[in-house]
Amino acid sequence: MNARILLCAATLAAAVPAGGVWSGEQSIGGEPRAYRAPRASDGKPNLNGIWQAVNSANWDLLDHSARPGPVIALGAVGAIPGGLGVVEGNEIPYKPEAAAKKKENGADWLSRDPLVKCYLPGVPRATYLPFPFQIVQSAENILISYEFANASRTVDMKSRQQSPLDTWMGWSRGHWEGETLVVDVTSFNDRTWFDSAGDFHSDALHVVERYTPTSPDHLLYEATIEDPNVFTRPWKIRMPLYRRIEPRAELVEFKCVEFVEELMYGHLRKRTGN
Amino acid sequence: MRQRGWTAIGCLTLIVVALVVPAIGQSGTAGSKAQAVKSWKMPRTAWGHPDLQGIWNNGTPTPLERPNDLADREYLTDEEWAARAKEVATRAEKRPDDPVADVELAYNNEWYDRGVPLKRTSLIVDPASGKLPPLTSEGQRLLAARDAARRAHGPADSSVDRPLQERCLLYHGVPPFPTGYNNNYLIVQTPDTVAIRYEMLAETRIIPLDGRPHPGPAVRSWIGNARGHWEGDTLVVETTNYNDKATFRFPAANDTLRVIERFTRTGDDQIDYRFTVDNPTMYTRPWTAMLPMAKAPGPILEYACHEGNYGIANVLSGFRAQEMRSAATGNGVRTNQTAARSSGASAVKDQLIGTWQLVNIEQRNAKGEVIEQTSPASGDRTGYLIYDPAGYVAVSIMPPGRKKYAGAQPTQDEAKAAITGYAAYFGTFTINEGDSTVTHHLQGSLNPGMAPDQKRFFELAGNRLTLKPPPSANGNQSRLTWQRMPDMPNLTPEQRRFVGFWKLVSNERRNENRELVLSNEGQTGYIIYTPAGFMMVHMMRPNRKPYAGAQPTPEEAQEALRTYTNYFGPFYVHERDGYVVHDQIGTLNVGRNGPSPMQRFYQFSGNRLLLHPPLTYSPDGHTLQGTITWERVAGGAGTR
Repeated sequence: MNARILLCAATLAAAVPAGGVWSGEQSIGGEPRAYRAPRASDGKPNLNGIWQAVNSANWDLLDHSARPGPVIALGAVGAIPGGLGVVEGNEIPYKPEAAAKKKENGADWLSRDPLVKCYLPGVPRATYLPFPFQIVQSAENILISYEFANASRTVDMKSRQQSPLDTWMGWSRGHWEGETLVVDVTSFNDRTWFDSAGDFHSDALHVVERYTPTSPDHLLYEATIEDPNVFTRPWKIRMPLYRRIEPRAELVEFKCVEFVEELMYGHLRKRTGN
Repeated sequence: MRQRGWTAIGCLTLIVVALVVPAIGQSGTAGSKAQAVKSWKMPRTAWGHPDLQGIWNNGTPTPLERPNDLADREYLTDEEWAARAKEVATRAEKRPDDPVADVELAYNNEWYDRGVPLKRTSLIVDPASGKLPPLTSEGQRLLAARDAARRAHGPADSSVDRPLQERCLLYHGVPPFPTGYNNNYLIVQTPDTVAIRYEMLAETRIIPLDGRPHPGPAVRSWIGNARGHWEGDTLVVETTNYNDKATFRFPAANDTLRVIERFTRTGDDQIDYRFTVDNPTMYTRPWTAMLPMAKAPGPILEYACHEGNYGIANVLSGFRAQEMRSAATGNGVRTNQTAARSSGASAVKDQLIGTWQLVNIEQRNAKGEVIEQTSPASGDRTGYLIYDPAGYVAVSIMPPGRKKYAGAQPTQDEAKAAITGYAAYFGTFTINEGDSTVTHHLQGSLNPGMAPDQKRFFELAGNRLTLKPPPSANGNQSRLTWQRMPDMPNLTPEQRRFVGFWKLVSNERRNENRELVLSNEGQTGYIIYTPAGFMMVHMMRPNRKPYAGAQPTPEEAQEALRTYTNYFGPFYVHERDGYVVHDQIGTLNVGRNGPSPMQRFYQFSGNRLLLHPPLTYSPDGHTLQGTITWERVAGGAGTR
């Protein structure tokens, strides 16, 4: 962990009213924020860089206490940190049958969480994994490359093409609203989760992401999540993203496929010494 | 409709590119090309760098190394190139008459990315031979050590024994080398970064241009660590810090591997791309290849390889099932059918009929003392013997520790190694119950000089069969003990249709116009399927000459190997999809990859069986469809 990140987090935390979800608007004060990001060559806010969330939303989007991890041998290293939720109103509006499924998922997360198998994390989860991601921005395409599992996606800024198929990482089309990059993400399959607490969706998922620079080294990340098959209404998450400011910062390959082969195929290993 | 639109654009682009690309192949430097096209101006980003952005495709059927038949030619003639380019560009439109081939081609066309042939005869531009430079002695040692380590495992003992592509770990790699599909790349630039997103496996390379050094040697990765800079209008990318697990394509990534890539935009639709592989541990000198990138229609689509990877689990479970079956045989588990066969008062012939697996080989001296004993379990030969009710016999005995060839074709020494200790023959058999002998009357044998009648004393005991050739002059006699493989407990009617000896009628290959490309005139042989779920094939070319001496010379070995085909293993019938898998566990011609499952689409027609291997593509760009026609031998029909 890098001291500058912690410092940034502390500074931001100081601006948060006690007990509230961290809120861009609160620090903005309801007015268009004074901060104006440096510009890319096309005059749009320059989001290039390596970014990372510093929270425990990947464990649970909602408020949660710390608890022991599922692997006894990992002890404190494998324990799950507590955290304050990132969902507006700290409630995910499940339909009743979907709420039951979420509960089931959560109870059996170790075998059901797609992330455990190194599957592509989906959106928005890719954003708040405990791994950095890099934005490479041009006027036509904004490439987002995630360290976890080599996941990547292209946010198409110009074309209105529809996705020909459902995908893990969705089909992303973007546009600028002032200082904010707005990304409309559709064409998901129903295989990804939002967190390890079993929060899930169907293939009707529709995510609208908003990336707003709030300082040279911070983005406000918001995502509105809509899925009429699973939720009674759209709901929203919100969190800061921190720039990885180490001079040498770069994504380091994390091809986790190799790390899950024994988990997934170990039972099919040839038995020796029989 | 949208998809069709893309395809139409793709075809147009392909043809346009086909007309432009040869210029790249011909000219010496990027600069001279830029001058040649006067009206074209280098597109630039707002900050002044050449603009490489967009989606690019580097597919090409031109091989990395120059084929031997073009050894002294760097370029095709205009006519040769035009014919090849046209053929490749229009191949998807040609419909074979044969409905099976038609469906296969339609399926393959959906994903096949054939690319554009270059005018060059090889991608390698340096050395001038168009061939990879020789390996260093250390390189040879490393590869041999790695092969030895590899051979210490079976082909699928665990997932790590499977190819990297199959494991979704590495496909196009760095440098991005074209394959049969998904040769698409998206380039995005900023003033201080170039990013290349691969369609295949969704690799993303992020290349900083800010002059930062590579990380230390402890940080290694599958695609290495890239650093870029501009030299004039050329983007130069140096990649190091590879891990040493990337075992395919350019042999052995390791800590001395350095790849230098050069990207130069030379037109609206083209990037001149070339790369140099500098690995002093492996190669006696650096080598350079060119691989033009052509503008391609988008978008890049998600390639979720690991997420849909049923292949690994299926391959591993298939191997485990096979081992369980072999173990069951070894423990003497017999099905009711087998028990009935060997306990009844039937003739000797009835007791011989079946599929037999070699258990051990003994040498006994004249006093009957065992002087040597080996078995497949102790690392000796693997063997199978099949007797058929119609009076046919086929044998394959394979020594252990067989080495794969370094190239596509075996060298003479590799050929010698491949046939040494290997026995394969086929023919008919007769039994003499009076002296307890069975004589194999050979119609063909790997060893062209093998005596046509092979007499064996036999002993039958339950599900064990011992065959003893006549003793040698010093009185020593070898004994080969075989164990009966049980019948498959639940043979389906479709599997039953395969069972028997089938005689080779013809073995043809035709191109997409149904023109005969290869007829294999005079070839003879059999394919055999048995109720044990086992198959074996023997095919032999005509006019083979016996070895001059007792042992073949390397030339004779190469010729014997070239003219004989033998492989064996379980077979699986996929009735719904109309194909049978010959799951080789052993093969005479080990090739570059060793025994591997063969898929054959099948058709029954009267007493004939037609097998079609998957389509292949000839070096000159044709689609080839093979048809091997077999006829059931009289009296051999069905199961017993």
